[in-house]
Amino acid sequence: MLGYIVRRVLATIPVMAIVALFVFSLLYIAPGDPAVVIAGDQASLEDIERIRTGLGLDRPFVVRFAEWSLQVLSGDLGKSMFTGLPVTELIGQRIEPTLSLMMVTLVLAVLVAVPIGVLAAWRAGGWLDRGFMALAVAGFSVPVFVVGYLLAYVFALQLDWLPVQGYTPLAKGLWPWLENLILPAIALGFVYIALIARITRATMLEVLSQDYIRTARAKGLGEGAILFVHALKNAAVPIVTVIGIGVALLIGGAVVTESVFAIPGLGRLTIDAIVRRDYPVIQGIVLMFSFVYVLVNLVVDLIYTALDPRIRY
Amino acid sequence: MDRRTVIKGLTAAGTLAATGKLAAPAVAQGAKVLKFVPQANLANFDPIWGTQYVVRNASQLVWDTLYGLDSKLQPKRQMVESEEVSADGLTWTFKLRDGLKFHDGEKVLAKDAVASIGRWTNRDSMGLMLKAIQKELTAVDDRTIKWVLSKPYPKITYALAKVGTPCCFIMPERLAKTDPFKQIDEYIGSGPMRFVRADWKPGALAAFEKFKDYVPRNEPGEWWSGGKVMHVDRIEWVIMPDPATASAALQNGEVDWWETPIPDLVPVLKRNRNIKVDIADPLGNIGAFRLNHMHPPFNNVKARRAVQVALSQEDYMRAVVGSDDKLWKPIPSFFTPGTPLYSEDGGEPLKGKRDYDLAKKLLAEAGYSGLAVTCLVAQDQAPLKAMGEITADLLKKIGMTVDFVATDWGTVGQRRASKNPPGQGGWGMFHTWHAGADCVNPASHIAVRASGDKAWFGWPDSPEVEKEVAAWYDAKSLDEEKTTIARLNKAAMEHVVFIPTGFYFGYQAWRANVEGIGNGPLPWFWGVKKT
Amino acid sequence: MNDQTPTAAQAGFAIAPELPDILPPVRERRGIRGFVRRHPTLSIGLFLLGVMLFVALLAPWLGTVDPTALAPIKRTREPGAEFWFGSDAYGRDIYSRVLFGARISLAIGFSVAIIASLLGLVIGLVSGYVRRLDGVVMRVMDGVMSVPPILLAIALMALTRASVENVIMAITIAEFPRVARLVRGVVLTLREQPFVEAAIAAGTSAPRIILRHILPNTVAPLSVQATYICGSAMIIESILSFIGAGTPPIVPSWGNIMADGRTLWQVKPYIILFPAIFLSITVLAVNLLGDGLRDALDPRMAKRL
Repeated sequence: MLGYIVRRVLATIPVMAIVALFVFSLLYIAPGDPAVVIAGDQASLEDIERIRTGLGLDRPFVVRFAEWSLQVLSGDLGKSMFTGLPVTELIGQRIEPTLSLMMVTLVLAVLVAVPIGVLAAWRAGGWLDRGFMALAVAGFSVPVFVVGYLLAYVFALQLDWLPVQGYTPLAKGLWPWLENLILPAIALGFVYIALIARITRATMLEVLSQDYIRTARAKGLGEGAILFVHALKNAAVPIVTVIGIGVALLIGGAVVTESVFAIPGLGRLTIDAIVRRDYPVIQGIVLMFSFVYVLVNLVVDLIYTALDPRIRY
Repeated sequence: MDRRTVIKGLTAAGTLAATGKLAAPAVAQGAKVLKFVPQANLANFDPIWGTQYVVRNASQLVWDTLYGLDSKLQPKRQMVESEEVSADGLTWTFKLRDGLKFHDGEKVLAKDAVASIGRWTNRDSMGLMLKAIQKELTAVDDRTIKWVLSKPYPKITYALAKVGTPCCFIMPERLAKTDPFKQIDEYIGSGPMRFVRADWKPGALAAFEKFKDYVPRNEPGEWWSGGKVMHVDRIEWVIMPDPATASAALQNGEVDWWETPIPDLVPVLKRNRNIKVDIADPLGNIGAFRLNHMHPPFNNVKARRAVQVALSQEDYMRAVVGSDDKLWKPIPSFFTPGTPLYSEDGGEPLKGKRDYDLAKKLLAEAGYSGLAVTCLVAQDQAPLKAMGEITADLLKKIGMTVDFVATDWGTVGQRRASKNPPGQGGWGMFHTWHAGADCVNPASHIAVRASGDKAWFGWPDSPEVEKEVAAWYDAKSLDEEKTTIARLNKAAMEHVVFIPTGFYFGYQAWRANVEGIGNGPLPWFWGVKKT
Repeated sequence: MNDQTPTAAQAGFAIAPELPDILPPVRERRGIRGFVRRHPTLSIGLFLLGVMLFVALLAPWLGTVDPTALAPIKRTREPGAEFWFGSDAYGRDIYSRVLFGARISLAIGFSVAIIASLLGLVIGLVSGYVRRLDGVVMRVMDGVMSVPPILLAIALMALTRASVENVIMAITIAEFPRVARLVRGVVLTLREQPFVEAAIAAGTSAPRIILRHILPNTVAPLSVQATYICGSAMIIESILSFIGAGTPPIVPSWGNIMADGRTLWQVKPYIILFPAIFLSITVLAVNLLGDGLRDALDPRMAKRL
């Protein structure tokens, strides 16, 4: 068991190395010269050359990559080309809103989607099933920001039940924090819910047709116990996999949702950085998110082994 | 320091246990916070390096000026207690007020002012004129500044008071010693508010707190003159690039004051009983199509004229202000309509039916060969975004190739400073606007100057225009001024220094429980109360 | 029946009465009706997609005007006689823009689906067949897949100028690793099959084995995956354009039309509404097509995907 964990963790290292290589290459081949930006607008060509050499921008790729990797490993992601602030500081300022949004969405999505999937599988072929699955496919088809605007229009502007935009830190109270996150979480979670519901239904269908379920029913166990204790536990592996994979969806969708609801998180930072071609910031964010994603998948794999002792690689 | 912030953020997010109110919030209970939505993101914060209005509007909170304009555009004393000019007009002596302090506790000394003026004279057009005739600029003692010139310059107090950027803000000596072409990295001033660096989230939030040791003047505050009395404890600039979000936030009471509501959303705001809407500045704004005179294709006057004869100010203005005709006027002029010096001389190319055939002919004569025009279009400023769309269409109509660079205002600010050719990070044109207050005369109208290398971005070079500017400075009567301005307008039109895209008014909107919001070329924060 | 054996009724069993001949005999319907009955999802998907393709291809003849023609004096008109879907902030006809926009969005969707499938097919085949390359290639694929697709597309777009081709390239790069994984999986399973082992033993060359035995079996899962990629690509393009990192603003893709309408959604919601409806229907069509294909081609695949 421990051996498996160690091997699994070690396996993430080459993956992260590749991500790092890709992310570093971004800055390397990017147009625009950081030396020009730093030199200021009246600098002469000699000044710019001097700054380039000073920054070490004229050394070979491998050397620069090695140096950058060491830098990153020690926690330094460079400085924003635009504001001059360290990228880690910029990320640190904005991480709470994005993390909050993602976690609330994840919890909401799982709490809503899994029961829907279970119910749809239980009443397979019925109107409930068809209805839910139709909604699920629809959920895939509408872009996040359209859902966001619709929700904001109806619930925030017309009905005035929830705030239209912004983010309240958790430190100011649990309800104010949640209030700002409900609509964005629903918008972001739409696709996620659709995805999880579909997989839950498909897996549950397969599990429910198994012999041991028939046995349980024959034994006289109630439907609730059957569905949620026996069936779900066995269906858990693919569901957890999808939840893990879906985190990528959340990360991508957070970028847009934060824009629609004016949440000052990493998504907004990304958009500002890309509009300005602020490569160090883009680099830092991509690296960080990829790292989180790899971590999430690692955790998912480790949860597998807890859920299903048969899985051993 | 950096890692700590990351861990701090993670911990805060990690404590999801429902314990209700956790650590004490940053702002004390009962503190008055004014939430303001500015016209653009505060990407950088150096008012001498960056001439954008948004930078100046924030800077006025943090830094103070020696003189300030009042609503009649007259310079009045601010940090200065008294001034003296010698009989020959060559020696100016300024005495600073007592009790002026910087935010770090240090007293404001004359040497700080001297260094600040020195930095400013390197970038400002009036400052450059002063620098050219300057013989001596020294601090006689801790409170006295001596400025000796080789020629009289009666508008010196106007130069120090004007709201046209860059403004002569007074910084501590160590900051003022920064190269004027590089940005400062500390934001310490002696203004009525302190910049809360720790809360600064570029692109999202900038915060200012009341400076307890600020001593306002005794007179009532008016524009930049008089006492700058703050009635709120904290001002938060909430950056909202999306006007729809800002509008919704204002309606919900989540923000208090919106600097630039877009005209299309104004009817909704007007209908809301909790919101007041009004024209922000009775002196209006002049939209500008700024060409790069240094590189092809617009280094040839015929190519510039081609755009001039095809440009429809009505199209631009409708795109900017919408269907309300009361909000805009065509202007065949570089100066503000309704002001004494306004002149339409030489403005014929902008009047009447648009002539695309003539434009194409002029382009051919200019030898235009299909080179792409790099258009820098800021997407986060609604008027500029709108103008950019019209321009792309216009240039295509007259047969030019367009390289449309959609970016943000901060990047435009950076890129427009580049004197490189368009293929190497340079630019062909960008849009901006000028506040009516800045366009009443050549003194603060940086955009109409044509001093080549030293001119504003675009670097137009016309000795004729500069001759008339000098003539205006020497004019002895209003009539003389008017004549020189008429000639100036004509020369500038012929040379196509830039192309005005129209004259328009902008709105501002605020919650009904906010009092003291005034009109003017920029938002004034003193005297504003929240009830 | 002869007189000797007792009838069921005589034996005491209850017998159901004879059913009258009112029920029609059950017949397996042929032709389109039968097809639609047997594959409802597939049919709906095909139908909707067909409508969109029709609209896109015939856009110039469906009552449209130049989608880029500005007329600032007619800006933000409500949907009505002159502007069927209303006009946007610059006086452009939204109906025309949406119809011409269909071309761009569909072009992007199809291009990404085809290119990503081909690229993923080649890499998956090579990786699955050539053991030595498998480890390295899959690690690289994992690496690329570790970057969330939208972030990857954003980062790639940051490197280049905005153009339709670059958007296609950026989204393709984000999507092909999944195809490669899928194909590799199929190849690995097939390799162990007896008929492939027999072919190898008989000395058949690798390319022949791949072409005759392996490739045909990848077509089914690949087609299904391709349809999902098409839908995903269209949504990613709309998101990229929405945040300003997608097609150039001059191009009337659905994403750009919606991005333009952002500032006015409170007062003129139709600017976002119409392209959103068209986009959603198209993506829905493509998703239904994928689901339908999956069910039709191999019901067992339903679990794998």
